[in-house]
Amino acid sequence: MPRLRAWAPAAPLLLYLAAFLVQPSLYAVKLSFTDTLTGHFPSLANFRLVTGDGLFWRALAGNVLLPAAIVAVEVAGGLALAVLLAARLPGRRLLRAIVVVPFALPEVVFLTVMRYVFAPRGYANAALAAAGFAPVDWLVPGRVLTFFTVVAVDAWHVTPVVFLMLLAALASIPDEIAEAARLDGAGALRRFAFITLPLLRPALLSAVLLRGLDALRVFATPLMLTGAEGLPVLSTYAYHQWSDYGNDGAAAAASSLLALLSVVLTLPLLRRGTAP
Amino acid sequence: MRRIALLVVLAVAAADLLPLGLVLKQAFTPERESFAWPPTWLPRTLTLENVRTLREAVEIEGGLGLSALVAALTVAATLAIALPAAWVAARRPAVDRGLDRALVFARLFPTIALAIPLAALSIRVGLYNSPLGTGLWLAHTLLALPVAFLVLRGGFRSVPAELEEAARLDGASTAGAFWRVSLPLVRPSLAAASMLVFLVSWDEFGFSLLLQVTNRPLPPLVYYLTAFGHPGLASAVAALMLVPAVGVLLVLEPALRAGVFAGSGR
Amino acid sequence: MLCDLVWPMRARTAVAIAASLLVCCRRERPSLTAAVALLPSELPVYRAVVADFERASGLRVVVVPQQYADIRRALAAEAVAGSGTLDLVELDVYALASAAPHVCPFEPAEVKSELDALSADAVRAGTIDGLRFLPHRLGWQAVVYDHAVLGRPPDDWPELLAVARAHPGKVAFKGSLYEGLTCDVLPFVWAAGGSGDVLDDAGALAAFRFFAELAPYLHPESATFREPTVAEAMARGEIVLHLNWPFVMSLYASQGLSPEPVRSAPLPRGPRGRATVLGGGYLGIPCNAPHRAAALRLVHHLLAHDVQTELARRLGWFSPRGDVAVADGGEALAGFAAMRSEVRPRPARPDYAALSRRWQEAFRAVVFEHRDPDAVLHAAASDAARDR
Repeated sequence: MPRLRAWAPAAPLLLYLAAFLVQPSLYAVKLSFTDTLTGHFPSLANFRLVTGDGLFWRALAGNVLLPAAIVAVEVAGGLALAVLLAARLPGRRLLRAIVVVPFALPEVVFLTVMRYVFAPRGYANAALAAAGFAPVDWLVPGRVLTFFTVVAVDAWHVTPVVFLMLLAALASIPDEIAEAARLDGAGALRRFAFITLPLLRPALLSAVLLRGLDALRVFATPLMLTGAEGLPVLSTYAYHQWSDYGNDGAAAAASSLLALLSVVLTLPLLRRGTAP
Repeated sequence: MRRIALLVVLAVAAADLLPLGLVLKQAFTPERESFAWPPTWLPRTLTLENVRTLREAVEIEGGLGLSALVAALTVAATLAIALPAAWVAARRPAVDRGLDRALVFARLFPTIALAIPLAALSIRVGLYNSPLGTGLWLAHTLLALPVAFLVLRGGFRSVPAELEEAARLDGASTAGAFWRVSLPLVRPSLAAASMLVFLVSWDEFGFSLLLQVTNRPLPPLVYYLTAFGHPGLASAVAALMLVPAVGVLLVLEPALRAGVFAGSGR
Repeated sequence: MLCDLVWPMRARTAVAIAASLLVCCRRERPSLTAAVALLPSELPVYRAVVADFERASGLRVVVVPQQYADIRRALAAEAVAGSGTLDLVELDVYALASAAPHVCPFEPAEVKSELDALSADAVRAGTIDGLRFLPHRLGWQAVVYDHAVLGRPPDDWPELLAVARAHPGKVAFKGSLYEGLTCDVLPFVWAAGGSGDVLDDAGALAAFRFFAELAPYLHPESATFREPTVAEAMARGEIVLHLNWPFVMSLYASQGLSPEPVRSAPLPRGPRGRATVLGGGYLGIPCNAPHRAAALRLVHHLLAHDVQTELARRLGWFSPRGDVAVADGGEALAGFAAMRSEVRPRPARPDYAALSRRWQEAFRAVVFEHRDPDAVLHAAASDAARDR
């Protein structure tokens, strides 16, 4: 079959991406090489400014650690939930709907509520106080606990996406296979490890890749919970450059470096691809 | 073992309902209570004042209509674009690899980097600030495509190619085989994809903020109210936003459960 | 046959696109779009004021309340595209320099009557390579404190330190790395006799030594606080004193927190008196405004004497017009009103952004990294001299 015709059904997708993705991305890259002050192009001024800023390097470190932790938690959590709720548990229809609720809440609202939960005088500390414990500083900048609080909040919000992806994959596993294994006397854990998990591998890899790329661009969660300097990542750093200093070029430079970082970090997965 | 599983799931469900509960509580209690110390888990005074002031504070009806329209159009556009692509990706590894890379490219730049050029593009093409949110659902499609593609492709992969072969041997065209054999079998994936795309568009506010200045969907309105320190009003709008969101979930959820045709030849 | 496959899908999308284009390209009633940073509680009053203009001029005005940052973003996007929707924007004084290229200057002749009535300092802040912005409302900072807890606000620096010691963790600065921090720093530098231009003059050294003394008693999240988050912390009772702009008093009033227990007070007196920083909202007409002439008429209306008096009376705004009396904002705005004569503009120099950044970094080094104030300031000054 002629190769081009094979691509035809994908044509709308490719055309769409060319118009709405390639052009803005190229613009962003061009902007990163344009000196904001003089309008000179090409110029490395933005990169020099950004790499000379201590906050940038903290943002870079944060942008590796935070997404890694978030993806680990959300994939593990999503998998556990999908497996638990694929089985015949009572009330699982309702439970499935409930599990998706954090993602159904608009991000702005969810994060504001979380700010009220983890504030020094928030719901979490109120619960601790009622149980007789001392209040905890959940979101103070520079502390390790802050990192884990942010991870927990973001994972809380996005785990439903992984859950839905894996649930759909699980639903596609033919019942016969599970039945056959059960009849062979395999316990639940063995069934999971030797049958379910391998069948889920493509879906899991897709989930890790997709969620990894999204987690690398994490933005609203650290910004709203800790501000642009509390737990910096590259997207909040770019926003900070743009919003506080009006420096479009530096913001674009940081964004381009984030794109580069994303490619580098996901390269092993990218090369393997998500095709089985 | 089953009991442990049930307990775990119930604990997670409780944790997941917590933000929802707080939003509802803040929506129906006076603003002052949202700042009380110690914070009240249950409402002390129930009131509808937030809901009543809402109409003066922001353009709520317009926002609701626009959000719904944009979300529906995003689902339609995303599925229209992603379905054929996902189908061909599931059938032809070469195309699959190419599309994979293309969609990864879509996830590399943070939204803020793309927002201004996309806004400029919308303006030049005349889709900026449209009362129908035309530029906006096209932007939301960008955000939704990778997820929809992934979920749909997973669905098509689990439908054996032999079924389509069989249909073609019986005289159906490729398109016919697709419509009548494969498509019905990927209903769980279609449901999951629609749900995710709807939520992505319904809740998205980065592009909404930038592409719609006077005709604003609901998320920028929530953001405005939150930023200006009105948790009660913001929560009232959020509670309003939850109704269709949860509705969509409940409607589409049974489709997820539908076990796929016990396929032969996988 | 692949056409059969693809066409039904594409048909749906195509029809949707066609329908949308038809509707959006239909001619709409001409109307002005003004983006102003208004609180939800201020919106009805402002819309009423604008309605007077609509009746008098026959034009329709759509007022869009947004945050300053979002207005700036929309302005930037429209500038890149070369056309847009916004006819009038209000920006805060922080953002004027970076937004200046997108806003076209007024001809002095067009706005002569306003220039005569407006405060010269305020107008100068809006003059960037031409008269691009006119002051819409003035603002300056005052102390915002919890009256129920503190009773009396601190009157001078030693009293402020005593308050911080008595309530550890409950005094906060807006310590995020942004212009708002400079607005917290400069009043203390000026109150100690410093010029604000020189990083290590006697006044600056005195002020930063005072910051070092306060540092151990500040709220732990001061390093990330900005106006909205510090205001929120106060609403929750986590802090009892901070510096902020007049808008927070309206905010607290709508939350039921002002005038009891939250009130305003003048900044504490330093070795050389009191001072505070000039700020506020400025109006500009974007270069891409579709209805420039009409927008100019709206500007005339908004800066007119009776409208400014109305806004001052009903919203407690401080008018840039010299002939509008400061409204009696009651106990809530008393602190602000008392500081009117001590308001100073920030240093007007081309490298102000760099200078401001040095103040911010110096403050953060002294207060959050506990470094020696004299050493930090001298180092900053020599860096500045070297870069010049």
